[in-house]
Amino acid sequence: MKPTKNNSADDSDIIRETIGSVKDFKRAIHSKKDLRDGLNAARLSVLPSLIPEIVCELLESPLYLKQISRDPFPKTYPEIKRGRPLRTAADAVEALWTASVLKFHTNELNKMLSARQAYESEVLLGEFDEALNALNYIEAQFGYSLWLIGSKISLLQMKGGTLAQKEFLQQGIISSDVNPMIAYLSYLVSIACEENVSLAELLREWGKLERAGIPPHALEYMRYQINPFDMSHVREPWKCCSAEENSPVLDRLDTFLEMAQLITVRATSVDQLKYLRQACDLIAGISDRRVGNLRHLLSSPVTLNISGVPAAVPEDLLIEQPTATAIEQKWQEALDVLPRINHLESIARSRLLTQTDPNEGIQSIPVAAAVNAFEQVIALSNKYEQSRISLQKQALLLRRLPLSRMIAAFLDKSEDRVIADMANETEAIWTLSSDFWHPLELPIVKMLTDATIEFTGRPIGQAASVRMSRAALFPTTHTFKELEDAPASPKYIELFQAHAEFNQGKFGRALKRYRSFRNRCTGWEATRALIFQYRCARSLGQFKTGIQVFTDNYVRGELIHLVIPMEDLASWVIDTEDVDNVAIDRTIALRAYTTNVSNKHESDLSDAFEEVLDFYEVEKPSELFATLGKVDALNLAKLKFFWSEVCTIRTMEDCTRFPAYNDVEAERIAILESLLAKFPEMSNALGAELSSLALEQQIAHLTEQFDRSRIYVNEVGVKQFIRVELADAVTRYRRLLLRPDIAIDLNVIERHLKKLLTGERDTYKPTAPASERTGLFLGIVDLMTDAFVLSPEHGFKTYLSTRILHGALEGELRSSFLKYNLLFAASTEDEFDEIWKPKLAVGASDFRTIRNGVFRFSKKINEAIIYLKMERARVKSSATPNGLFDFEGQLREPQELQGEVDHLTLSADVADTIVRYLWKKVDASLVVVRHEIDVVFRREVTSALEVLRQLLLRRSEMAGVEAMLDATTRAYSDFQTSMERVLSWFQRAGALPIRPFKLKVAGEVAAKMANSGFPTRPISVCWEGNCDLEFRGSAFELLIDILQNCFRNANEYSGFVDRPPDVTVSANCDDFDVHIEVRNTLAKDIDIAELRSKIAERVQAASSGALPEIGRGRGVREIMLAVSQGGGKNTAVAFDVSDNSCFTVDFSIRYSEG
Amino acid sequence: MRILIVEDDKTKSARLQSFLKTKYPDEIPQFERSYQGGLARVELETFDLILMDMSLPTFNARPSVRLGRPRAFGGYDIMRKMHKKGLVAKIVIVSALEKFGEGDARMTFEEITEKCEDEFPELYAGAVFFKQSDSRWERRLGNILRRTFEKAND
Repeated sequence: MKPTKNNSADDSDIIRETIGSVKDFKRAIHSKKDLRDGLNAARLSVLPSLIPEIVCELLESPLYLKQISRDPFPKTYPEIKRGRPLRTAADAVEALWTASVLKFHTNELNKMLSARQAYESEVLLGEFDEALNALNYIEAQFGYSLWLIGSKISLLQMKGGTLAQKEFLQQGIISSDVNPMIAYLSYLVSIACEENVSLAELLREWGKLERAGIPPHALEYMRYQINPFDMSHVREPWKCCSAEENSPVLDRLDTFLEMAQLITVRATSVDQLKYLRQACDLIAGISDRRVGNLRHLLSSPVTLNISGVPAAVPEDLLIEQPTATAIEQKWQEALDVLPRINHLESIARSRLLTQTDPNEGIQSIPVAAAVNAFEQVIALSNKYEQSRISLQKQALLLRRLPLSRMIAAFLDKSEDRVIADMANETEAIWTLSSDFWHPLELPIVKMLTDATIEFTGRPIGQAASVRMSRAALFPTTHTFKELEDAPASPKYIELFQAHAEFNQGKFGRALKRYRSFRNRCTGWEATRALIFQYRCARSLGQFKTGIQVFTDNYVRGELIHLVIPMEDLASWVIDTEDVDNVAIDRTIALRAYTTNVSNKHESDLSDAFEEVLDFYEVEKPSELFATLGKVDALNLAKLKFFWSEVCTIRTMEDCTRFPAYNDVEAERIAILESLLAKFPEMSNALGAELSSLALEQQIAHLTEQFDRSRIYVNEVGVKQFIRVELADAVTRYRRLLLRPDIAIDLNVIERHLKKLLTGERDTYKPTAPASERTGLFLGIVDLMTDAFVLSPEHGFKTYLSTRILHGALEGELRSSFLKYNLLFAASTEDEFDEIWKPKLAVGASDFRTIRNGVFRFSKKINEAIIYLKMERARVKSSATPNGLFDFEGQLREPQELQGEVDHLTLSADVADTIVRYLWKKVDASLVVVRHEIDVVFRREVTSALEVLRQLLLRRSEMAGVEAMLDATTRAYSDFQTSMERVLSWFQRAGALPIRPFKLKVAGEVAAKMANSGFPTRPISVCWEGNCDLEFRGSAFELLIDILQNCFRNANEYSGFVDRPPDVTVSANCDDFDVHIEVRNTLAKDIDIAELRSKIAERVQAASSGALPEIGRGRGVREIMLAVSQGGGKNTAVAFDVSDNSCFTVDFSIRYSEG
Repeated sequence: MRILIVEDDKTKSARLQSFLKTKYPDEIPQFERSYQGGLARVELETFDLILMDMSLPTFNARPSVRLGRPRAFGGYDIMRKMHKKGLVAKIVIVSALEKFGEGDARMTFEEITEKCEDEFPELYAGAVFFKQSDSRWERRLGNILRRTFEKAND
């Protein structure tokens, strides 16, 4: 018999069903050398309906028994899952095969299940010693299983902490020759049980496994085994079942039943699941409630025998006004029937009905801890989130207990299940493990079945809550009478009548009743009851009613977003248009969605925001303050919410009513200021935002101001510097103008002089002879030019160097490429590999080529920047002959100036005239420099980038290098913004006077500027002392110069690679000066002694003027220079390197209050 | 034909302009460099053709001026607003990026262009993957323009 392919099966090489008898099946087994191979092939070709008969017959023979049910009760760890499982066959084959094997072990399984129940009771009650005994008994009687290992790890964690369970893991499992899957799963169980491992952390672990290339079905199996919240991620349930083929029988049973549950809740009709019903019938003898439930639900019609329902259940507490005594009694009853746990949620709810606050209870007993957390969640308390997380953790820890599934269902459940038409998977799976008649589960049973439910047995004597629940779910003409006569409080009778009306489609009447019910409720019960009103409005299509159920309560601070289905609400809001009278409500609903769920409807929020402005016919939201006084309290609350939560910068910058970011920010500030003025009680919520925005606005304004004044000369300082010398020369010049006869023509001598001094202009400039008029005037111009350009304290060159060339230019031009990891220093291949290896899907050879290409690119970019910085953006001189700032005027120009000076002109006016002339020279040079940057430098960079891109495209398929290609595109886009910024520095924009400012503001501006050169590790400054001290505006640039140098030096030389240093600024003042200390941490590998020595050398060199203008030590020089200009009484700057790796710059500046 | 280019990359803008000059020598395209600039322009004026980048800053880049948040899907955002406001034009997405956005919101060029086509069929005319180094994008853009405007003229 040769198998043939069949497309209907799930593996690629699967096979048509050609085996039609036990005999053929045996023949197929023996057609291969190895019996397992034969079994693999035979299983893939067998008619599913024959499987029970085949398996039953084969298991009678010891020859086949060992192949079909290998090690069902392993006695050692290595025996668990020994050998590979059989290949996955078709769904029906997997189901019937597993069930047939399980049937064979029915007796042992029933004994195991009974022993397991004893263990579960002890664990839930916190009797850990007894629980351990129970586990040891199971181990001794039935051997090992994954369930046993998982349970033991979990129990040891609860009993003895992480150390105990790790010891067991280490000694018992990891060290033995155990199946790798068991070892890895045990390790994951152990991690999941650890105290501080949350569900979120576990989810990150899956991400790592996915990236590591674990096959999806293996990953699904592992996730299912560890995480009770992952059932919905199992896409191919029978593959999980198939993975258990070589597992101990108890694991096979659990996985089979849970996968069968999953398939059942996902099926659109039971007709698709006849094979599963057949499989469940095979194991009808196994005493597990899940088997019975599946068999019931897979029947058509579904019959529920209700004669066994008790006369009283804890859920009865939920329809009466319970007393504390009654609750305590039911609690004890619930503990008596453990491990049955269906009643725990009802106990939690009824407890809440008798007390204001949720119970804190005993946390060491698992069942009590669960009930306590249920209470917090149900009550929407301030521990809501914390309790959900603790329940998640408990479910992870107790993954092998039914409580774990119950918790997963509880966390996923909706309040309105009694009137809902669809259940989610997690709660449906839990229902399939519970009593179907249970009032909390019956609604799910109703949703799960597409057939009629027939109730059999005697309804008399059943618990009232069960009867009322059934009446509301399956209303008849007698329902209302039945509910009216029920032994329940009138409030709950009304609730159940409302349910019944809803389920009959009478939504309007139901809505009235739900409103009436809610009016009788308080607290969490009232909030949770809103879902029913929302459902009615939704069914009636009454948008205004529905949205206001939400918004009326949300703006009052109720946690209604935890009760109303937010996805549904958002869809309804988006799909409903032309509802101007609820325009603000729409924004509130969408804002709530964005805050509490996700930002996917942010665009819809901005649309809704604009609709509000259109509806009220205003241009800006702040104009709506004019409507105050015309609105009632509720609408006022909504308006306040609209202003404070909807009219954010993020929302407002989506519309075109504000032409620039500054306008958006100004509007937000205006709104906040108005809100705080009119509603001072909002200051706690909004005060911090207003301060932060004001600070940000000031920083932006001052940054702009500083950028506008990077090309700068301190004219007052320059003039002061040469005041006496200039006055003398001007006096002599004026005398010459009055007495031309004393002039001597020395043109010939001057020409000789100039010839002699060609090339020596920097060191000695030929001053025209005092007795010659033009020569004397040129001398005045030279004197002024020297001071204007070269004055070390006030001159053009100093400011050019401090504000542009030192760090800023290089940092800004490199920043975009650094940000996208395209610039690397020489010999940093390891760094490159670490960043790019995970992102480039190319072979080793291509990778090396790309790496070399990036290093070549880095070199070219660095060279272009250095050339620009060191050669071109410089004052033309013998040291920098290629400098583009050219102050060597044409001969004619000073002579034209000469005409502006007569015998009455004062020396100050002469100075102004020459300064105006020099600024014209600066302006002309700036045009040339900008051209150099915009054209020549840009071309260099563009060309280097294009070479890199070509290399990427040439060497590899684009799919493998797209991350780097995208990086080049993004970097180039950012580079153009950097270019705009740098180009703007090279112009005289005319800075405005700066208003008084706080030290902290100046510091943030300086940090922002310094950080532009370190985009991947920006510093964040910590402020201490009197940093809110206000300074005069004129001190701003001085402080920026000093602090920017401090911050840049800190980032560049502190020795940290992956992060910036910690930087702290502290300030204290006396009557005259402000003492400022800038501290930064140093990396451990910085040699303290060596650094001290270098700093001392540089300070010495800077003091003596020996320090070069470029290279290391430049920052020290500039800090000292700046302090000397604006320093306080003590103009010394102290640099210190402490033993505990801290670098400090200490200086004082004169304080003049702003 | 009135043409608008919404593109923050000057080099790419220049390439697009050169290309358009060969196709429509008599037309002078208008330029915008941001989400806000682009949106404000189409709210005020009518364009037949818009060549639009996908990733845009919120506001026009100017020295020392804050740009608002960077928008990985700025082009999509403009189309969305146009669709909502009933504004009409034929839009070709021209992007040099393969991937947009971060985390859960990450999308490929194909995914985002498909999304635009699905959601704004009245606006979407096509998408071109731009490469500085070759001219395939020009052929593709040419084809889209021919298809779009010849069909419209039929």
